[in-house]
Amino acid sequence: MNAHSRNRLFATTAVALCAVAAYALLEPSGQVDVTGSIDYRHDTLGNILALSIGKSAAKAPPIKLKMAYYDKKGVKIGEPSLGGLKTVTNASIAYFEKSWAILLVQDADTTLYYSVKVGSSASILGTAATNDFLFCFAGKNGAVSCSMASNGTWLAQVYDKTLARVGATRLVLTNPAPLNAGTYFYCAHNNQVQIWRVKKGLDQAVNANGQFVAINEPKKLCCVQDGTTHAFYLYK
Amino acid sequence: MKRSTKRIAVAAAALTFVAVAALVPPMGTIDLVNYDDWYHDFGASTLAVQNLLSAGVITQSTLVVFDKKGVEKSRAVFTEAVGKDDVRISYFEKGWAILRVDGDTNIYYSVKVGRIITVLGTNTEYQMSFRFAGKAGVVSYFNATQQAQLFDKKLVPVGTPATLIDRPRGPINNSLNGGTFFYCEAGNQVQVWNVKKGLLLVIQDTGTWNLINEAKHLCCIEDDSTTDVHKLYTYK
Repeated sequence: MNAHSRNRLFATTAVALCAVAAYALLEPSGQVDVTGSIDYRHDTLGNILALSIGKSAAKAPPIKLKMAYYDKKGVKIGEPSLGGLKTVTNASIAYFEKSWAILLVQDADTTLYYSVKVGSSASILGTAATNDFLFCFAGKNGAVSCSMASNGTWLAQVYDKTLARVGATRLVLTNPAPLNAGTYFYCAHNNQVQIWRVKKGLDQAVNANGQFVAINEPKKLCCVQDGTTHAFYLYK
Repeated sequence: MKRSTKRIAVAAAALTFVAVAALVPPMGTIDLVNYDDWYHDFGASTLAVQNLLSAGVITQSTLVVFDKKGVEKSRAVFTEAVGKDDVRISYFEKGWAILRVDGDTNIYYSVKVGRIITVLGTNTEYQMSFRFAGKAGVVSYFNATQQAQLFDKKLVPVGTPATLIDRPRGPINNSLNGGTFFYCEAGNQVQVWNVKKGLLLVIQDTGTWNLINEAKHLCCIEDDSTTDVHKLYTYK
């Protein structure tokens, strides 16, 4: 083999190797450009909800909240608008999963949470004021609001998709940390752990001394470690 | 006691009973006060190591396995640790453990733990720097060279070393999906690697990492360096 053939063989092999390497890399299933959005959120299926604020061309323009809903392939499913929201100054997405979103919308006078069904169109399921409802997390059983009272205690409350209260307000240790996609939460404070179940209200499942240690969240297994004592819980 | 007072007392007692009855008791408890290191696996079994020392040198090392109910399932002497300085548990899952035995040279032991201890293989910290382990084996990563390498349960290298852009990361134990994938990111670049008979680069893209749904292997790489583009990937 002369030098020319050897070089050609090397070049062919290199091209082939590059082709193999490139072939092994995955391509994105889709992409979305959310440039200009004031907020966006992915749900656990890869859908994207993006918010933007637009002005009409009129002299005294109403400032409208615009939504864009994309699937995981980046295909725009819809650009729904919400009737009645015409003087929006700011907005953010507190929660988005499948076709349910909770938006925090500010206009000149008020700040309100909107529970919204979104898709190719949108409808308002309910609203709540921030002095009544402070979003902490949400899941399939509703949204959990949590706030610190003036005496320093923490209060939690479940709300349904219309943002109506469900069950009683409960005194919890501190700000909740969600577990199992918002169907449970734990609070840990001052060597004490509480685990709460979110289901038609709040039920306390675990109350123990120690620190929370996650073991296996899908299987609802955790450990509460108090010094050298490890207590294993299957919270359900 | 008046009838009405008695009724209130009975109702209060009933409410207290309901509140207590709703709490989930621990499946089991263990006190690890006499142990030097411990590791809970995903099934809530615990491996604990107890070292007896004389003048800073191990005279006896014992490996004890407890199940999720806190019941001691096995206890065995780890003779290889005698004469060394320390034994630490790097990983434990379903009876398989990676132990780091510190001495003049620190050595990793891959062991099957039970009523007897079976040493599956060893390697030195010069050859293997434990980062995480999973069903495909152990992933080693050296910061200085950015070299990663997969080792099997005998701690024998599998496949070729890979140069990463930064250390392997993931939400639990520095990896994704129970040690079958990991991501790394540096300088607005993201890599996702598959751990399977070696390390295979599956994603390389510009942006920052966002995990969307680990169970469904969904992630997003967000590049907002010029525009705000979200690229959705299913890593597999």
